[in-house]
Amino acid sequence: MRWFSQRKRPMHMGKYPMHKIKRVDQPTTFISDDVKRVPKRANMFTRAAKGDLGKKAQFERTHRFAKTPLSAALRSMSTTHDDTHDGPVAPDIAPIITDPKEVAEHIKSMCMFLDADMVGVCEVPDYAWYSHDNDGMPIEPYHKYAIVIVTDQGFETLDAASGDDWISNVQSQRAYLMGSTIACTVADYIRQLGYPARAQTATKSDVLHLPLTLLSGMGELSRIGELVLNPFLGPRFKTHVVTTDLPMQIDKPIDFGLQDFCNKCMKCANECPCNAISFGDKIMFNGYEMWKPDTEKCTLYRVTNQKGASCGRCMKMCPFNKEGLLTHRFALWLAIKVPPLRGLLARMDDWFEYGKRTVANKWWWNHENIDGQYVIAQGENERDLKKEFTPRSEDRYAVFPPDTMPPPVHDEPFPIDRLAGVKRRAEAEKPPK
Amino acid sequence: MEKLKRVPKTTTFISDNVPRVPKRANFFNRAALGDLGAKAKRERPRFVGKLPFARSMGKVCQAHIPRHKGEPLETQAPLPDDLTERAEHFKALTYFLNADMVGICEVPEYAWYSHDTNGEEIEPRHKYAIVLLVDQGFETLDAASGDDWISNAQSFRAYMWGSNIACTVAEYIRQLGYEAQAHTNLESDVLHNPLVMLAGLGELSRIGEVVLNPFIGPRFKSSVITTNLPLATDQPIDFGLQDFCSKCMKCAVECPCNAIPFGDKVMFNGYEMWKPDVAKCTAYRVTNSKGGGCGRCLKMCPFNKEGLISHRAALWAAIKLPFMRRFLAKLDDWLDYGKRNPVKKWWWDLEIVDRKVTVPENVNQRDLNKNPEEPAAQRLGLYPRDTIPEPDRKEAALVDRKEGMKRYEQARQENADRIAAEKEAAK
Repeated sequence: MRWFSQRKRPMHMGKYPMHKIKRVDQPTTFISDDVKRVPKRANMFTRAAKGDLGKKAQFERTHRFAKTPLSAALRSMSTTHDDTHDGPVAPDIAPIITDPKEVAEHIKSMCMFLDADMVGVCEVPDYAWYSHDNDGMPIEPYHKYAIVIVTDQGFETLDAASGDDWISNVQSQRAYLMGSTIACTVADYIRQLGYPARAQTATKSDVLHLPLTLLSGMGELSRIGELVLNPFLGPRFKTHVVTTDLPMQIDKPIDFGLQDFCNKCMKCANECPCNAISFGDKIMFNGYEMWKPDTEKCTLYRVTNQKGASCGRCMKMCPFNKEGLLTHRFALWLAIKVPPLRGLLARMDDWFEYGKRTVANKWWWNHENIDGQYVIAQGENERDLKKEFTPRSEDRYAVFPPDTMPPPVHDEPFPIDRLAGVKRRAEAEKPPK
Repeated sequence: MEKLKRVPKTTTFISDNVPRVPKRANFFNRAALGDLGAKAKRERPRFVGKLPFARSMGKVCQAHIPRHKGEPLETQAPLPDDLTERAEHFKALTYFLNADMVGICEVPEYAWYSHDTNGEEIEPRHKYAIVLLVDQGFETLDAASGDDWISNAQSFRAYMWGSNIACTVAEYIRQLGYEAQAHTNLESDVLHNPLVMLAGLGELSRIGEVVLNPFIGPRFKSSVITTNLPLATDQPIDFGLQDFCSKCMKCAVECPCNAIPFGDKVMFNGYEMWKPDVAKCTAYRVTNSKGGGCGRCLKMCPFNKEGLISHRAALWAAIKLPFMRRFLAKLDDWLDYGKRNPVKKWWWDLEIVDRKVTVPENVNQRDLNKNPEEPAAQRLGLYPRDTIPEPDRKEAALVDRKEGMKRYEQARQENADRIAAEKEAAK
């Protein structure tokens, strides 16, 4: 009578079988002891807004980032949460259970109850904190733990999208709104229990989410470079963090063979509309041994995209972006357990024509804000699947390590030096073969 | 939902003269102003806030209040002329934003409150309503008794998502150049029950003030967006609930304060419905000292299920085979549905007393009442439009229970007479 029932599954385990994925002591991406902390001013979106990427990018970033009516609505909702990120902590510590394992399970269950897709806990390393805030004030690391909340951007809608059409930014904003709702609620709850806690979301964050996502076991760093990939959701998610001093048992990083898979696949690099993702090997970048994308190209494309709002084509085309059917779970199992099949599985994606847009799921309208009025957008990026393989040579990518970044306070444009960036990439330390 | 039978009129009879009511008549407002006595007045302000978790969600919802209303953009964006295409767009949008179900209807005048809490008149202003449902979550309710220390947090989970979605959609419509207003638990100028029925999302149940959906039972909260943007509307549904509820009685048996009628429907403010004693229900929820709030009726309803294949088969039988209905309701008891599932209990029993988080002494531990006593004469009160306080009254207007019971008896008698007369006429 009770086939497929989930009633015996404790709440904190969530809906995905993350407990079946191998846990390891260190992330599968090598991170050295010498990662430099960076100021918020160095964030590429901030750089675009300040004019570092040129006048056009500056205008688009500051005036037209929420250029579709839905992005505008979602963003305006997210900003209502700004005042609930942090607040006064109850003077007394509540008489709660103190076993760190139970506390972690309680908080995870609460996030699941609030519709999170996955949750992990880790300690926050110093390098995960920004060095300076937007006003140039130094940020002292202030909390020990991070709760990393993962929300899916939604398979169905992405299924109909090219990744860089008029819904892209909306998909991100949706996940951000949902995540900030959860993170702000959980942070407030912890403060009521007498422990400090702060929500760190897309609109306001003192921490870099990427290392925390790795350390809390929510995924491995992928070829996309600035994206952590989860075995069940692929890259199709956004993260939201609560930093706190509430003692909790921490999780370990995961290893599902992605470093080898990404070595063999290359789909994201082949499909990237602005050629920002490298086909080559990993390099050392600010202490991480990683596939480093050309973040200037990527940001510039997203900010100035005229035939859509922003871009997330890499996550659309990734073979890990799937509906989650039994067949997909089986292929995932093969990808994890049978390394020799990985190259074949990536090619199979092409043969089955995954990545083509499913027209039946397209529900949105292409509206664009031009001078304060919404009109039907003139162009639309209509992309399906690129089956031919067109690798590019490594000398066309640039990197911008911490010593080339703008200082913490710099209101004027701090123009990016592309030529130097290309040179720095050529010089970058390669991992031993 | 597309497989359900659609009907032109709601399965609950609604007459042509439903009086509009002021917000002052809402029983939570009446409790706050002292109409239900000193204890309820004292407890009402901490009703949500006494649970730390519900309090956190309440704060997030509060932050959304400025986004409920707003001025639309001056220029209207070009939209498809086809009203069905528009309706499908907005439905898809709400699903994208994680609504569980959505329907569209025209707003009848009686669905607008007559006066706001300051006694100012409310003008019906928008023609259409987009009604969306958010599930309160099966898993957590599975572990709860319905009136323990998670109840209000479950409500607020659904309210919070509803508010996220409704405010986003309202703001989006305003961006497109049309008027739109979100109506949530914190701020609503409309009564949700008639709109949920008219939009085809459920039928009115024995619980009385709760509309029931075939797939998520009564386990949801609704949020509404009203707008003057023309959209194609839906029709009400009929899945046989009026007959099912007349045979089931589980909610009435399990109600901890005996507020749900075992008896027949009565006429109330123009609706022919099973009318619960709202004064009892509100007082119990507000003054519950062994939990925060109460939703035991929605926990124990046979339509509150996990949604497995076996449950879908039972649902199919309940809809298609009327003679099975009584049996299916009893089957629920035999299979022990409604017992708490301890595997899913994740929350902590915490209560804020005098600004301090404490562990409450008591918790309502209830499982399943399989051998209900025969309902003796149930003493219910009825509080129709002419007994409620004036819209701008700030002082307490104590609920007259004796008068209420008298009015209930009278309504029962009238309905019995009416049914008898109809039978007579049929002969």
